[in-house]
Amino acid sequence: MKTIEAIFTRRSVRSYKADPIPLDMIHKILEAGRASPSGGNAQAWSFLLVQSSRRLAYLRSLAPGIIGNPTIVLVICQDDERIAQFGGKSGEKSAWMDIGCATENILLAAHDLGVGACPIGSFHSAGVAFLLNLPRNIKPVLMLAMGYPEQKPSPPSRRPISEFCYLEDWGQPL
Amino acid sequence: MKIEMDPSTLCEALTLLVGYLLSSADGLYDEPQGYGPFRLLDAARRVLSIMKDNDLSTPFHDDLFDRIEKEITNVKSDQETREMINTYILKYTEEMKKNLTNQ
Repeated sequence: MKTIEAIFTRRSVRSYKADPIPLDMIHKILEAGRASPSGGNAQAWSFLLVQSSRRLAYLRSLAPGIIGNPTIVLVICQDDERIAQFGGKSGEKSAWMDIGCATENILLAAHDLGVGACPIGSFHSAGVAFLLNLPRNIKPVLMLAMGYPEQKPSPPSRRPISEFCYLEDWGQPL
Repeated sequence: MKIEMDPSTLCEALTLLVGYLLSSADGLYDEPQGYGPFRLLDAARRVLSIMKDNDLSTPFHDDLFDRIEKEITNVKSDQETREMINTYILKYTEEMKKNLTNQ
């Protein structure tokens, strides 16, 4: 799949087949996240993969944003130690941007490999951190619910470019 | 007291539902208004799923579960979600009225 095709055909998939995702495929998806840009190369991220069905059930109880039954959930965290060490004063902001870039890489790689995914922001952060035994410096920022798609959603409406993008001066049409 | 739970038990399923409801309650303080009805709709689906898994459901419950399950993963506008919820409420009322008149 060409990159541009992946970008335009990716959807947030919320219903999944029960088929497991092979580990080598998961590794490839994680490598895509690892390859994303990072401010100052701080890489102040950590990923935690949850795939046991019982743990997933417990995790879902703390993450109302997960709607379907994903076969894996990737918990994407910020690493406060790395932020302090490499990030400077704006380290946290930079880490969030890096996590955004890594997330998009992961979403596109997953889509390219036929895996559906949905970013999840609705979860109880402290509860999730406790459930998964996260160290104090590791804070969950985002989850990616993943699995082979059961349904492919239709694209949501988007604002036209003319509504949010200008040329040279604010308000000048492109 | 440590609560021992088995994944197959009704107790565990209901306890996880309680966790979902509490997490939702906390999250909704900061989330968009439209998430509230959606969380309750998902909660209804989760209750129906527990009933199904524990042989507590009737064809009415299973049908309602299937309807919600089919629709909930498709993104909709608030208006469309509300219309969908209202069709479920009418179905529910129809069923409960039958129950009432059969007693």
